[in-house]
Order: sequence, then structure tokens, then C-alpha cells
Amino acid sequence: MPVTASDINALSQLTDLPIPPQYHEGVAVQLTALLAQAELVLGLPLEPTVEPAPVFTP
Amino acid sequence: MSALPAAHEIAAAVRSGDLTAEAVTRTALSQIERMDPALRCFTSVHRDRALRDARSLDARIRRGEAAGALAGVPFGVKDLYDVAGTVTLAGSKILRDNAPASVDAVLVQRLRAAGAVLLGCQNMDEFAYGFTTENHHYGATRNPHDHARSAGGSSGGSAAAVAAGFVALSLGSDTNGSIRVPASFCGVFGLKPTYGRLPRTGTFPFVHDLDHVGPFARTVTDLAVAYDVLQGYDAGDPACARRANEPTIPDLQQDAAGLRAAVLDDWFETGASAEALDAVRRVAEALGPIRKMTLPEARRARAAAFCLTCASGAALHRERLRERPGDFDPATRDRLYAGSLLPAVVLAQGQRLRRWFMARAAELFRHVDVLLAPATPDVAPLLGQKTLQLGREEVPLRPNIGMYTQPISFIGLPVVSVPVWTARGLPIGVQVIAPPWRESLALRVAAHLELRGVVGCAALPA
Repeated sequence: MPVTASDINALSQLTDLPIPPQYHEGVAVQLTALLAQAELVLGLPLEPTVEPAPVFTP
Repeated sequence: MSALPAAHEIAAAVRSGDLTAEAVTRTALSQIERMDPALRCFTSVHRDRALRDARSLDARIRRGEAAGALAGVPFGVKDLYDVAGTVTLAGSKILRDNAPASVDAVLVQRLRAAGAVLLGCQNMDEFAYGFTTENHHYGATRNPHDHARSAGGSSGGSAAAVAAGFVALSLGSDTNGSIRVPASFCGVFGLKPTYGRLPRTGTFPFVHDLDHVGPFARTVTDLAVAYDVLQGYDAGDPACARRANEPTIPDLQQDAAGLRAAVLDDWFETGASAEALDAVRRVAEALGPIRKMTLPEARRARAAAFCLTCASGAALHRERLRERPGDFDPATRDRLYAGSLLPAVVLAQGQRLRRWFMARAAELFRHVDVLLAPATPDVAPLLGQKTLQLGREEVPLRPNIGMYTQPISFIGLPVVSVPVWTARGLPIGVQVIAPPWRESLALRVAAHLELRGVVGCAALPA
């Protein structure tokens, strides 16, 4: 479902990063595209044993 | 001297005394002065510093001192490498207020220590977030082979400067394809080494998890000489691997006919133009019988790289977005804002998908030495072009130019992008992809293809 400018307004209130109204429409287009990619990422079932790629060495 | 010879030829002539570094530098500077206003490869040219460096090198040679593997070779760097005395802009307006860098980036230091002469900083997409180098603040870099077309990005100025013969070498960076895409569109060789191979110390970051640095050149020998000079651990980059140098020049001309290559199908053929597919076929045929392999879920790997990039970029630039949103390139700003709104679960899953996808690639490398894929879905688009034809589908251009490069850099594999020429006289790159830490294999294959005339740089149209 496409993200709307009013969605951006609501989300930006929650994230402590104000997004000026004149950018809402453009950001909505980008977030719609991004969430379509996110759906692909979340759509692949992975075994619980698959570790994240980065390994932190203190 | 009228045209700039290859880097290894310049270095040999300067070392032997047939040419002076100052003469080479003056030739390159005059080419830039005359032709760069039309192409916009450079954001700054450091004439005095370059001539000072060249004269100093000439004096050392006259005294009989060692001159280095890149003696007198003119080079440029993407404008995210620190250059002492210059503000590192990373293609932005916002960073103009920063203090000038106090020391050169480590890779700049290494090239200079080998005798290369830095001429200036090169145009790029703002904060390296783009594939076209149509920079809102500094203008678009034009493709030297057709000025109406894009040079690619984000290291567009660096690739175009090599293609135009302004410099013999450039340094770029590649997070999702930013060396391989402009190499493809400009018809030059580009090396994206294994993630962690070359230190990024003194470069402005984009996505720490995915950022690579590497060179462009007009010949494979030049690419290998530069890469050998650039190698080596540096503690300033936490991702830099503690590996011994593995020089590639000694084995570069070793016959590659026995190496096993496979063409990646599925995602890496989807939507590719006939010219892109033909380029891959020509490269594959020169390496033996054509064999195809599938790297599963490449589409999802690309999606994960896409999401990690957007969110990491948003985190990096959060304060700048808060304080100076109007000073961003609009194309960069809206994507970074979007990245700030991405659920964290996507990033956590993306990093696990990265590990899983690397294991799939490792399975393929049990059967072959190198994998082949187009670097870009098509030849260079026109400047200002908004959409890209992928088969029957018309998609937004900018996010999709890197669709074949993103899954590969996502798992840090070393790649040489080799230039193939289409019937209409435009270049397109093919990715020669090797297993981790085997840059030498990809370079050997590139040298084999170059020797047989399958790939190579072409002269510019008169």
C-alpha cells in the first residue's frame, strides 16, 4: 500500500526527526519504494542459527 | 607529448629519464584546463601542488634515488578522499564549512609514495548516494564518449577523467556499485576489491558496512600496479583486514585459459538489454564453453543492500537532516528521510540474510573460479533520463542502475569491471567476480580478455 504524505507527517512526529511539510510527498514516494524492498528482505525464512554478517571484536 | 600514455608506460619513461614528471604533469593539467569545463570531472585542480610534487620527483631521479612504481603518473581522487589543505566535500554543499583536511587519505599517501602525482578532486553524487553523478551543487559529469550521456556514479568524475585521458589513474569508492557502474558507462577498468582489503582511512563514509575503495585505469596492468601499491593493513580503518600483501603483477600474464568461469543467470539476466547480454556472452566465450549458474535470492540480497544503505545513510546524516535539510541535494534528502523511518527489524534480518547469501556464493565458488554478470542493465543513460527499460517493464532509473552490482558488493566479493564495446560505439562493463581475497584471479582473467582484444579502453571520438 503506498505511503501518503500524511503518513510521513505522523511517522516523523514519532521519530524525533522533524520532516518539513514540503518534503512529505517526495519522502512518501521513497518510503513506498523502500518498504517494497523491506518486504523482500523479511520474506525469506532463515534458520535461527543464521548469524548476522558483522562480527564485533572488542 | 600530446596524449597521456598508460600509467606503467609513463612510470617507465620517467624512471629512465625519457620523460620528466613535470612534463607529464603539465600535459595532463593542460588537457584538464582545455577540456574539463565541458565534462566536469574535477571539483578542484591542485596545479601548484602537482607541479611541486613533480619537480621534487624529477630532482630525486636526477640524484639517482628510487622513483617508485608509479613515478610521475598523474592521478585524481573522488572528492571524498582527504587531501591535505582541501575541504573534503563528498559532493555536498553542507561540508563546505568544514576545516580542510590536515593529512592525505592513506591511499593517497600510498600512491604519492610510489611517485604518482595528485592533480585534484573529482565530482561525485552527493554523499556517494547515486549512480549518475548529476550533482545538484557541482553539476553533472558528462560521459567522454557521448556528452549527452551520464558518466555513471557515484565515482563518475573519477571514471570519466580516466576515460578522457586527463589522468592515468583515479581512486573511487563503491558501496553498491559506485566503481563498477561508472567504469561500465565510461569504458574503463575498475577494481572493487574484497571488503576490508584496502583501508578507507581518511575517506568520508557512506555505509560503513558496505563501503569499499579502489582504482580505475585504462589498462589491466595499470589497475594491477595501482592495486599492488595500495594494498596493506592500516589500523585507522576498523574493517581493514590484517592480511599480508598479495602482489598481483607477478601472475598477471599467467594463462587464464584453464580457469573455470560461469555466467550468472536468473536475476543477473532479468531486464538486461541485448547489448549487456551480448557483452557477457563475448567475455564468457573467450574463457571457454559457456556455463551458467544461479546465485539464489539475489533479488532479496539486493533488497537488503538497498535497505541497509538507506537506513545507515540516514543515521550518518541525521543531524545534518535536522539542521540543514534545504542544503541537501533533493534526490539524496528524500531517500535519507525515508531511511530514518525504516523498521529496525529489516536491518537485523538484512544482516542475517547477508551471511546466508555469502554461503550461497561460496557454494558456487566450489565449482568455478570466477563468475560473470553485467555491470549495468544497459549502456549509459542520457543525462536527465528518469526511467530505465528493464525488459517490458519501465522502472525509475536511479535506484535500478545498480541492480546487478548491489548483490555482489553486499557480500564484499572482489570484482574487476571490464569494458566491452557495443556496435554503436558505446561501452558496457562486465563484472568478473572472484572469491573473497582472490583479486588476483579477477585481474588475471581481465588481462587474458584484454590480451585477446575482447575488452579494453577505446580512443575517444575525434
